[in-house]
Amino acid sequence: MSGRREGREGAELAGTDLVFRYPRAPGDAVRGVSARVSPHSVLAVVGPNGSGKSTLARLLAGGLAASSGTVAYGGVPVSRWGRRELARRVAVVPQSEHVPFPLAVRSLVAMGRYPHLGPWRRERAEDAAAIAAALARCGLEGLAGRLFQTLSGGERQRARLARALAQEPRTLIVDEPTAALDMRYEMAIFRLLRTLAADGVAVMVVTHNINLATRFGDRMLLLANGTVAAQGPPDEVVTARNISEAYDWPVAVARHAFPDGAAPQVLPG
Amino acid sequence: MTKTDPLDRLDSGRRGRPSRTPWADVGRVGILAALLALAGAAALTSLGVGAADIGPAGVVATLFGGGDEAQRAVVLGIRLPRTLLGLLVGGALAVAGAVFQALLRNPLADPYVLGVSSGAAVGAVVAMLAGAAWFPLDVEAGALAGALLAMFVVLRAGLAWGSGLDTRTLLLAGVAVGAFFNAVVLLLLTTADAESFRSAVFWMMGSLARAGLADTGRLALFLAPCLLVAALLSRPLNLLATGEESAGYLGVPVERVKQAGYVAASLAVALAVSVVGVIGFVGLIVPHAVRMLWGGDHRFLLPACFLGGAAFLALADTVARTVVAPAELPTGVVTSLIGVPLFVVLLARSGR
Repeated sequence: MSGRREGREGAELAGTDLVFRYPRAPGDAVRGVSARVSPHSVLAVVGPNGSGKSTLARLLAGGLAASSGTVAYGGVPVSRWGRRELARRVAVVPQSEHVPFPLAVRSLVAMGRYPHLGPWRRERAEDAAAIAAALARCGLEGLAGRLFQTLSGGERQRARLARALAQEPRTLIVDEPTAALDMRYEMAIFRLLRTLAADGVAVMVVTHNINLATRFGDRMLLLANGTVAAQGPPDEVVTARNISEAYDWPVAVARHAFPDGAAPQVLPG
Repeated sequence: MTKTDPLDRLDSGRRGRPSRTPWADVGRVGILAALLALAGAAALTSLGVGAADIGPAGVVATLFGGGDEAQRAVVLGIRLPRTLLGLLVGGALAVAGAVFQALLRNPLADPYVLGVSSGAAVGAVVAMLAGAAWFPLDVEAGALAGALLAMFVVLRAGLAWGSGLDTRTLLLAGVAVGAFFNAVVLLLLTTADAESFRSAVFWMMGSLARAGLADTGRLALFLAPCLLVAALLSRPLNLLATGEESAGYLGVPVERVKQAGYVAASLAVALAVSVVGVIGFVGLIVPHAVRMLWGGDHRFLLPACFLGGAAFLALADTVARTVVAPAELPTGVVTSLIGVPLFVVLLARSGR
């Protein structure tokens, strides 16, 4: 599986009419949702708690199999891709993970090379270079030798993002990367995602921060109760009516001019 | 990459604290060589110390065909099978413990956490009470059958929930099955006569005295593939230890690795327990000690555990058979009596 389906560019990850219900759950977590993650752009997925954001991320990433609907990367169903083949193209940073044993930051980031190395091959120069670049990109050079367990919440998130970057993916799915981060790190992560998209990576970010989603997302997907409440450019998705209906809370929306452009901003009522 | 990437500058003003993993620059090969030397020293001690004390030089000479008749009888005939068994079982238990800890992502896991030893105890006690205690092999076969039964039941339970092998269910099932089999052992023991009772209790405390050279050789033959599978899974285990979800996204065939890992480690424990009984603590503390000292990469951790566990059990057994000579202490008691203080010291030091 190589050049035939995709160039160096990477391909589109597309979910169509996805339905998923967790075992023993009373209702569908996701019902008839379609989403496309395309090269050169950032898709920001927002929505209230329990609206199906993380489920959608898992379905697109191949972590869950949809009960109906299809997920395809480069036009080929994700289930037909080999795990490692897909992992060389699509990287995922799950919402959280608990690492119970002492682990150096560099070792964690080096795990991003597994799709390229497999279980037995030794780390080559290009792997070391990819790991170093990922550490540098996430501002972790000075922390490479530290134990993951001794890092702050923000540093941990960056280490996990660095592991995904070490995969050298063409598509990146990030589930709430900034949940525990202060403003500075949150901005830094969103700017990094923006930079990656400018380099051609297809980025999907699940976030609770609508006001950053409107600034850094090329397109947005608003989920509510497992269905798509709105999608399109931020200006169309983030309207007072859409947001207040989805979140069941009155809001005002104002356009604010930032140095890098104007974007709608939500002010809870 | 753009120069304006803000993350590039985030940590420029602060130096990372140095690695907290000591001796990282000695190199893994160096550490493994040191552990190998330690295991060798443990073996020499174990072969030399006892009712007839023979110095290391005498032991080496005897091993290579020298020494007098009496030395050969003691070193090669009596002590060598036991020393080899100690090295082998200690290494296997430590590796199995490390694999269970990674798969269950639980630092409290030990080789017996999934009930294998309790199943073995039931099988052994049944064999003893059935009057087969005069044929040591039968106790061994009974123990192995019990261990395999427990392993099968627990794995089935783990597979019953959800689409794959559920780690939490597996742990719960292991603890529950273990408790059930322990109750069966106690029930059987209430019906036992004094002699069977005594031998059953001693079996459960673990001893390396029972096996001959042939048993040890056979055990080695069966343990080798289990340990090889564990070694081949090293890198996937590294990823699994940080979480099944992210390991899956990185391309690890999670279900296959988990099932192969559980079967290999459980089989290794079943084989070891059926020969030596329940020797506790090696499989819990050796992996932790190695992790604390040198980090948790399984490509290094598993061989280091094998060598460390081998050295530890060979030494503990030497203490067990010499400290109250001519009587013997149960080896499983000594591993805990020596291991716990060592471990607590290590824990306290690593906390600083």
